Parts: sequence; C-alpha cells; structure tokens
Amino acid sequence: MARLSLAGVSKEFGSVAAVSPLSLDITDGELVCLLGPSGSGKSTLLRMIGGFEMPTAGQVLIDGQDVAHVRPNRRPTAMVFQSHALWTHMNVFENVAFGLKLRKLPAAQVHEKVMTALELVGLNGYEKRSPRQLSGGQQQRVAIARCLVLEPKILLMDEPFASLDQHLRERLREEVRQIQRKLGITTLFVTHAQDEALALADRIVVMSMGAIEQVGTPDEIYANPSTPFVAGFIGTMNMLKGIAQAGHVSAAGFRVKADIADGEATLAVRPEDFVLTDGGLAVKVRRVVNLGPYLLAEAEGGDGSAITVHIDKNRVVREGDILAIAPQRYAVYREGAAPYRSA
Amino acid sequence: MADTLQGSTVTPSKAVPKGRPYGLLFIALPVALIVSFLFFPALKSIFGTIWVKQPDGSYGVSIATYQFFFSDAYSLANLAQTLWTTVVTMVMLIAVNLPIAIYLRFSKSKLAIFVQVLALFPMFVPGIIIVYALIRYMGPNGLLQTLLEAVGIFGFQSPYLTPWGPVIGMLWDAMPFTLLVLTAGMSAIPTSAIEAAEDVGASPMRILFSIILPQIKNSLLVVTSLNFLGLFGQAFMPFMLGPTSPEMMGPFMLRTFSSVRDPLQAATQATIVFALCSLAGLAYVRSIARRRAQEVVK
Repeated sequence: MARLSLAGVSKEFGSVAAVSPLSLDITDGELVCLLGPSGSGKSTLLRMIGGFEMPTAGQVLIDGQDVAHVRPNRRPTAMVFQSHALWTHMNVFENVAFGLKLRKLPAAQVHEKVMTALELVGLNGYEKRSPRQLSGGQQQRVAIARCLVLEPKILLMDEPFASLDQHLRERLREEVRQIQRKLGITTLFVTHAQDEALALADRIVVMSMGAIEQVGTPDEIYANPSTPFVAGFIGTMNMLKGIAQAGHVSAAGFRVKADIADGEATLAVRPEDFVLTDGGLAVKVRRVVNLGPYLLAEAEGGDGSAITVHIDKNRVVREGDILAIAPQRYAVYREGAAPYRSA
Repeated sequence: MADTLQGSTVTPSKAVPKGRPYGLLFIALPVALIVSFLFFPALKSIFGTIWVKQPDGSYGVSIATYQFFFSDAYSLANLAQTLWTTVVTMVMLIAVNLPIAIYLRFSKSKLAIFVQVLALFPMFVPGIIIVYALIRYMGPNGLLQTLLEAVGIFGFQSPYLTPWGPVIGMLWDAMPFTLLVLTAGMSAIPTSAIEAAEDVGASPMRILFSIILPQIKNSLLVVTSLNFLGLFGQAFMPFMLGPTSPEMMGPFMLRTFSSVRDPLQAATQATIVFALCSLAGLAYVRSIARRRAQEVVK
C-alpha cells in the first residue's frame, strides 16, 4: 500500500506528445481507473508508472520517492497485462512462484505464498496446469496472482479484461474489487470501458489526447461532466448544438435558461433527464427499443437533431408518435467557459 | 418471409461421402515420385550394403563392409572429423545468430534492418562465390593476412585447408536459414511476457535463460536438427576449404565412389551417415509433433 503522485509527467515519442504534462495524486488503498478512448495516453501513463516507459519530463513519486527513472524490477509496483503475459513453458505454480524464487525465498515459504495467492484468486487445485489448459479468465487470474504474491505497494492493471467476454468481465471485475478491498492495495486500472470504470473505481481519471479531462468519483463524473468530451464519453448524452443569447440557450428547438456568455454553445441532456410534458417540444419518434427497465426512444428534434429519450416502460410509445418533451436537468458547454448546470 | 420459405423447394446439397480418399488422390503423384526416385533407390542402396556378392559368386547377407568401416582408422577419423566439424559449426551458428535474433526482436533502431539484411545476405550468394571469396580473404597471402601485416601483426595461420576452413564456410552458408528460424521463434514471444518477467524482478540474463530460451526451444531444436542434417552430409564446402586427411564424410564418400571406384563402400559410408542423420531427423519430427500436440491442447 502506498501513495502515488505524478508531478508534471509527460511522454513524447519523437515529435508526438503521447502524454502532456499532468499531475495526479492517488491516496493509499485507492482504486483509480484511467478511462479514455484508444490513443488517449492512459496505457502510456500506466507504463510510465510501472517503469516500462521513461517519462520525458516530470516525477513519479511512490511514497515520496521519485522512481521515474528506476527499472521496473526495482519498483514496488506490479503490472497485470492485457494479454495475460503468462510464460507458457511454466505451469501455474511456476508462473506465480517465479518472482519469489528470484528473491531467493525458502522453498517452503514460496509454496505457502503461491498457494495463498492462488486461493485468493480462486485457483487452488490448478497449480500443476499449463497456461494453455486454462480459459482466458483463469489465465488472467494467474496473472493477478503472480502480481499479488509479490505484495507490491501498487498494482497496475492494463485493460486486464479486454480480451474476455462481457459476462466474465463483470464477474472478474467484482472479484478484483473484492481482492483490492481485502488487501487494501493502491490500484491503477486502465480501461476504455466506461461501465467497468463506473463499477470499479473509487475515482475515475478521464483522459483524452494525452491530457486529463476530469478527475472525480464515478457519481461526480456521471452527474457533472466538466467538459463536452467527458459528457459525450461517459454514459449516453444528447449533445445538441445551439446558441447562447441573453441568458438562454436555444438548441434543437429547445430554449432553456443558461447563465453563460453569448455565442455558440452545446446543450447536454441525458436521456433520463427528459420529462414528458404538455408544454414541451414536440419530437417525432423514429425508433423504440425496449431495454427492460425502460424504453429508449430515438426521436427527431425541431431542427432534425437526433434525440434519445428514456421513457417509462408502462407508457405505450410507437414509431411515428409525437412526444412533447422538456429537459429537466441539463448542462450547457461553451468553449473557454465553465459549464452551466441547471438546478 | 415465412411464406416464402415454406413455398420454396430447397435442394439439399450433396454431402461428400466419408471415407473416400480424395485427399490421398491429391497427394498421390508427389508421393509416387518420392517413393520412386527417393525411397526405393535409397532402400535398394542400403539393402545392397548387406546383401552382397559372396566369394563363390552367390549373394548373401554380410556386414563385412561395416566391419571394415568400423575397424578402419582412416574411416573412423573421417567420421570423427565430420562430427567435430558439424558440432562446432552448429554451436557457432547458435552463438552467432542467437544474439542477432534477440537484437532484431527487441531493437527499435533503424540499424536493425541493416543488420538483418547483412545477416541474410549469404542466402543470395551462390556457394561457389562464397568459397572463392573466403579463399581470397582468409587464404595464405589473402586480404586478411595483408591487412594484419599492414598493422604489424605477423604469423597469421590461415584456416584454409584446416578443419576450421569448412567451419567458417558452412557457418556463412547456414547463417541465413538459422537466423530466419530463430527470428521467427523470437517473434512468437510476446513483449508483455518479457516485460512481465522484468516486472517481477528478473535481470536481463535471467530473462534470457528463464524466459526467452525455453520459449524458443522448438526453434532451437529445429535449427539444430536441420543444420545437423545439412552440415553432416556437406561435400562441397569441406572439399573446397577443408583438409584432405582426415576429411569430412561428404568428400570421403565422393572420393570413395568416383576416385577409388568402390560403390559398395561408398554406399556403406552413406548408410552410416544416413543412420546418424536419422537421429537428428527424429529430434526434428518429435519437435514438430510436440508443437502440434501443444496446439491441440490450446
């Protein structure tokens, strides 16, 4: 368990800036997800923390010690790779025991620690198996055990469930969360899947184009995205282009109050934040999808914009129906200004 | 949609009956050619070494030619010379090519492309050119000796016509193949497997011996066994670059057949070479079978 601080860390590959100078503090025992699309710099940042890439500038501080230019084998970190990275010529026991043997621990202690780690990830009884005889999920558990057995201060996970099916991903992320809570280990988890980040993280760091867009708890990030990018990236959000004028914003036929400077603006409304109301904007339903707990209606706004609305499943809505809707809760984004949020 | 389906008449496609030897027919011609022009003459030749003409003119089983080979000091010296040359060349092939393969696998430098082209260059040079180039370079009064003497180093002993001559020639000749196989083996090791080892605390040497070498075991076995087959029976390089006594089995067989005009003894020598090469062949076949078995488990 440790505290991790990044101070002005950046990485350039030739003339390309993969990570722009950024700073971040992660407290002891926290599970932080680095979330962003491909090419956002999240894996590069994780690899710099693990020592697999050297930062172009900045400090990587673990418990106050700068390890930015220390080799991975000399850092108190352990990395779980996306591709499992198991050594196929070794069995499960040997894979997990390899790091302990390098530390020249007595055989009995190695055996005890390996068995404890395998039990922790639910793989007791599998120690003699070859990695080739394991499923993708089991292989990833071995990779996790291989890291945990070394009792690192910080656990780094680089899209560990990316190659697994949805059901297995959900199960494994719950298990990872339980193990992380049980051990209280500071963990950084890279993912491009927002559901994974929202379900796992104590805090989420949303990244785009090598920079941090927003840091916050899953609730904060979902409820109050601070940039249009975060608003569009997390969950479903109707991003309606419009004009701000005289304390109001007009977009896609809506006119809502927004205390923001005049000019081009984006009205952001989540599908569940629309209400059906008699005085609302009339939109034409193009498609209805039953998502179980609610209906998802894809409608066309006044200016032809596509609008997604969640509707109570007890209400009968068909393609071609006209609905009158109004945003109950919304945000307005304008370049160079703080977002306006409705009450 | 449903009506259309109900109304349509679907003609079931004709299933290929099981048990018909279409696959075997496909390979029948090449198999027939191999049997006719390779296996049959080879087996006939091997059989001819033990089914020999007796003093009374009749034919019978005899191992006299083998007894002669294994009691003849010169033949045994040639066999030993061949084994020495083969083993030394194979060790040097691995020693030279493994670092290059590792470098090519992990280097991100543009120099890596140049190194690869340089290492594969001998593949595009005919053997005779290589031999003459080596003779001109490392032979007595060759370029190497001239260069050494120019910088004040005298007493150069040319490897030409010594046991080291064929080693150098065959090393050059077999280098591209060895490098290609090792590079292919190295490329199958994921970078993350190396990084994971580094992450748990392995030093570069430990990574080499505990992760890289075990993971390219099959490639090493392939280059070792196939190079053994190629080097053990080599005739051209040892003939051009090697000593005349003792000599390698290749030129020895050639000389026994064409100069000494003793086809029976030449066939016996060839059978002994074949038997030894079969061991290397067996190792190769086993490595292939093991890889297939691993793929099936996967």
